[in-house]
Amino acid sequence: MRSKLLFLIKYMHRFRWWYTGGFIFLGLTIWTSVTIPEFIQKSIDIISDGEPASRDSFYHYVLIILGLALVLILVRTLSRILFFVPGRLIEKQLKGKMFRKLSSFGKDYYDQNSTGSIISRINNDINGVRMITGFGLLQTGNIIFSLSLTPYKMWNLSPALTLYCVIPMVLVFIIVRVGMVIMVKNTHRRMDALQKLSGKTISFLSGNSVIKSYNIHRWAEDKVEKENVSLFKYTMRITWIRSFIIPLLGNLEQILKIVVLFVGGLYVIEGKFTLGQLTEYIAYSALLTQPVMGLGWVLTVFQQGFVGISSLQTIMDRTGTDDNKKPLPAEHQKNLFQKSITFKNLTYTYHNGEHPTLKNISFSIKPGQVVGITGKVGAGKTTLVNLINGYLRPSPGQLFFDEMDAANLHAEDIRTVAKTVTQEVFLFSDSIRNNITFGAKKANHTNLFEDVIFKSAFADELARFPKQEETLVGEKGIMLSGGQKQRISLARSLYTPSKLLILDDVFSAVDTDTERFLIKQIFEQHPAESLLVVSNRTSVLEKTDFTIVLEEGRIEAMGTHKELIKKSNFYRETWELQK
Amino acid sequence: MAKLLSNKDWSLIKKFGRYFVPHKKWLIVSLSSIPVTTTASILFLWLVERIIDDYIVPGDITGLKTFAMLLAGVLLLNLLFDGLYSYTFSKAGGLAIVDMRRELFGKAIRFPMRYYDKHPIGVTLSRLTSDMESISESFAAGILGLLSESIKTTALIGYLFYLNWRLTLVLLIVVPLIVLVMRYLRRKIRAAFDESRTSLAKSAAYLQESLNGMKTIQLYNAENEAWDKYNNLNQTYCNAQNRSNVYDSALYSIVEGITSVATAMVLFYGAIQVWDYGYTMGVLVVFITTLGRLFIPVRQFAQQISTIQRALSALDHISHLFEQETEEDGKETGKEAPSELKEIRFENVSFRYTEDAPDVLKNISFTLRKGDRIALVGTTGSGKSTIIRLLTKTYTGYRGSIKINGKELKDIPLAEIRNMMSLMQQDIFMFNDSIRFNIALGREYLTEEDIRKAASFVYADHFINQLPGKMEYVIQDNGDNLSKGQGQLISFARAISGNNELIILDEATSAVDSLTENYIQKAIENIFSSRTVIAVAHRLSTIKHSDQILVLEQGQIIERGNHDELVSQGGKYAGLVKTWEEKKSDAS
Repeated sequence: MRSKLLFLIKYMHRFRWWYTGGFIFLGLTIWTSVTIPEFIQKSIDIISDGEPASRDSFYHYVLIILGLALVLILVRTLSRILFFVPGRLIEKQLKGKMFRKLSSFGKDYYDQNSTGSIISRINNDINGVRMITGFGLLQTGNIIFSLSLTPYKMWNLSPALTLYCVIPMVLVFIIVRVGMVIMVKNTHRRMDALQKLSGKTISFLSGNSVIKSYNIHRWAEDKVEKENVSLFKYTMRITWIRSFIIPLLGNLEQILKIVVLFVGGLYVIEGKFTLGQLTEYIAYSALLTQPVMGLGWVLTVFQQGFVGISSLQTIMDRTGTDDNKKPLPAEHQKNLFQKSITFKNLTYTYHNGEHPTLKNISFSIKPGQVVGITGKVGAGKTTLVNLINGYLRPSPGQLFFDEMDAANLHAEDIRTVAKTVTQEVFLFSDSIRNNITFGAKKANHTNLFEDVIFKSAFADELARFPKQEETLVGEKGIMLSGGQKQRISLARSLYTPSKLLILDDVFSAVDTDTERFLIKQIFEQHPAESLLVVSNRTSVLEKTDFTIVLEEGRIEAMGTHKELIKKSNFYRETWELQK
Repeated sequence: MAKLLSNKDWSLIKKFGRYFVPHKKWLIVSLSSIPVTTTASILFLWLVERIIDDYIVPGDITGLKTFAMLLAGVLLLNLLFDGLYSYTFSKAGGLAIVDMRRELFGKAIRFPMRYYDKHPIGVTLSRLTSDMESISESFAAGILGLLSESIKTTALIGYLFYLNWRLTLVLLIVVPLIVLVMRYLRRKIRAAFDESRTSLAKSAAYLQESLNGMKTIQLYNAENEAWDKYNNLNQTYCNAQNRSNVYDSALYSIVEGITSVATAMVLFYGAIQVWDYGYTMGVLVVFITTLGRLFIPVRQFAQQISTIQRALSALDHISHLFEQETEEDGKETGKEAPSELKEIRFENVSFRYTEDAPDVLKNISFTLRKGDRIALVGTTGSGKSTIIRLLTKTYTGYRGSIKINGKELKDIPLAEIRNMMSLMQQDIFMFNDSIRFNIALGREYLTEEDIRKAASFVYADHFINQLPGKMEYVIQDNGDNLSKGQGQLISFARAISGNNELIILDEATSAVDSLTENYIQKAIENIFSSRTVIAVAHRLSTIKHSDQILVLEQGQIIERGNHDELVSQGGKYAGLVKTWEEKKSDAS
């Protein structure tokens, strides 16, 4: 609880003057609205007395009521603005924070949390915080002011009648509160159902082409329908309470009116009360309805918001891969790969794996070398690559950039050294140019765009697009073929220079002509000082300084093309197959 | 109220009104509760006036007791029927939304691929979720109360007229004023809402994209760049929201404050009436204590205006989505065995993706008979994949003619086409479900035996048997917990398991290590000898097994024939083969 409050205070602190202003205007609002009934009472008593002498003060009162009404409009508007705006600003700030946090998490996090659930978390949980910091606070202030000022005025008129009014109020409040608790429970269930529905929908829309070619629309519809119906079920449970229980609060004014008319009526008959006072009392009891209603809502807003906060805290409190490290100064970053990148008996097990994916890996890459990696599906090639580029982190003492232990380096350091063209290409729904220059904003040196396009064998095809490099790539680059996507990704990696360029199976989706061109560009022009090439094509591997053959996570053999033909069965068989 | 909604709003409401038709029984129950509650609320007022004038002022205690009891009874009746009204109305609305969502999702997965080229999935997602939520919310909170309160208020005004028509007129002077203010603010709020909705959708779409591409963002050190973009989108959203906050607050306060203004006017005129014309105090007290109720619908409209606006914007967005054309309708045939194939004939087929783009295919002609094996060879962008996209009807709008079994492709139901062929796509997509499911993909005619056979046919059984749960192993979204090669193998098994006559391989075996690929090559040989195949191939071994090789360049077939014929022709293909052989390493 305390940590949640601290969380709120941390974000609200910046807007303390907004909130202070908000509370002042809110106080004025409440004061004005309880003062008006007083003048109504005075006016009514003058009317029923019919004293012609007091008519002047009657007109005076009516004018005061009118004036107060105008003041009320003004102060109420201001109080609302002053509360709502910070709520939205905090919402924005939180979204940004969450995004930053999310971008500091590694693979383990994304393995455990689906995109759909992260998105709905950001949307719903942050919304909960916004409700607290905007509407919630306003209502709290409202309740505090109203529930102290109004009852005070009522008490002044008649303490006994006030006590009579408390009984139905408390009763109604308890009933409604119980209803709310049930409702909140169902709201959570409903949220879960909504989350599942979103998850399924995203998955099916992303896999739309498979659904189409296998004609399984009906199956997808059935799956979504299940979630659709369960969402409806929970919605109706909430509706039941909303229809039959919650309106008790809205009708509190009427319930109190019956009490006041009956008891107050008796007082008037007995001469303890004037008709004006009765009217004033009814007007006060009407003023009570709103804050009591608000109290119910405010409790719910805080409850839901706190659930949201604790869910946000699980993200905020989670340490990102590099939270405890600082990137090295730029001149040190440059020196990270002067001598070698060295694997020292590295063993790596995935966070969710039972057995190590890589075992006892030892080798080193020197600046200027071209190194190949080959092996069967699942041998650990991509894992090895992801360890070098910092996507996965080794335990201390296993991987070194010169003398620096990779386990202690900040991802930014590692990535200024190593650029990776991944197997699975990801393009943003943006122009081709923006996809290629992506990530270059911070770089102090970039290569020529045209040059990079040429080197990635993409120039001819790009020229054929009507809008050329401004052509928009559909989501994930749908309009482009696999080979085209891979070459854009290659161009992206060449755009900013790096010391080590890692090509993870880039030649797989391109045809032989393009492959030859690329090999020529990459091996002869040396776009980066050093190269690490993952491939199963011996035509590529024979050009390396040495190649590592992985088998079930171990180095089966290591050496030049000629050596490996003698040493490695896998390599020899591959080579013979491709002959 | 009618004036507060534009014609466009009304036409939207009319358009979506049909979703209520199947659930009209709930609507009928709901609407028939309104007269009950209306009568009860008028009765309540009448009783209050009687209590003051006939019992409190003259001092009749017994009468006061009886009438107070009566008043409580009337209130209870009102509460019960109000609840009934609201519950059944929401039920009708909720059921309508269930139907709407079902229909829209069904449409969305039937949109042509062309649609998703231009529209991010995130946007379609928010139509199906947050927009539907907005509508649902407006049912739960907005429209509901508004309707019954409007009716009640009309009745109330009628009653007040009956009590004292002059005083009522004075009371109603403020109404045109409120309507004017509301109309003005409404326009502002609507504009701000439209902007905030659009920017929210953009920000959500970008968030989704970033999460999917988080690895790329991280590998390129682009965390700040992505954050900037996301933050800017949120800033736009926040600004629009805050603008509407200002209008909202003003609207709310004006509507609340108007009650006090009206009170002052009633007091003033009421005093004259009591003094000069001898009207009773009861009437005046009723007016003053109930005039707040009169503004409830106005207040509710002001409070709910944003909810309603949101719902209307959402309806507007959804209606755009409904207007999108889906791929042709055909009966779903996922449950039937594959259809037969005799012959496919392309005649002078040309195609471009968009109106302003150049042709990617030019006058393509070829024939494929049952049992034939055709290989498409050519550089990337030469049009190989496009031929396949046309054949699978992923894209339509080609010129020339494509006939299957003598029938024009355009006239064959999509479902039949897709049932005839099995496609092994470049992009592999895995569903978050078991391996078994990802192979069978809901095709109910596949037996357990078929699935296992298919898996072992493509040598996928080795790694499947090592997974915990084997066939029951649940694949994560996008196949994240499988290696790319494993994904390929499953998608291979998927294509083969259906026993479809035509197998289409689109750059099928990339990124699989040579030994596994070797197995797959053997598998492909098996398929080649038993099925009809069109392959976008890079491997010489695959190409050599084909009856016909089509060499494509810039959308045209520049050479055709079998391996030996083309080699002896000494053209482009021969050149390709030569370089392959020279390097002793043909494309794996």
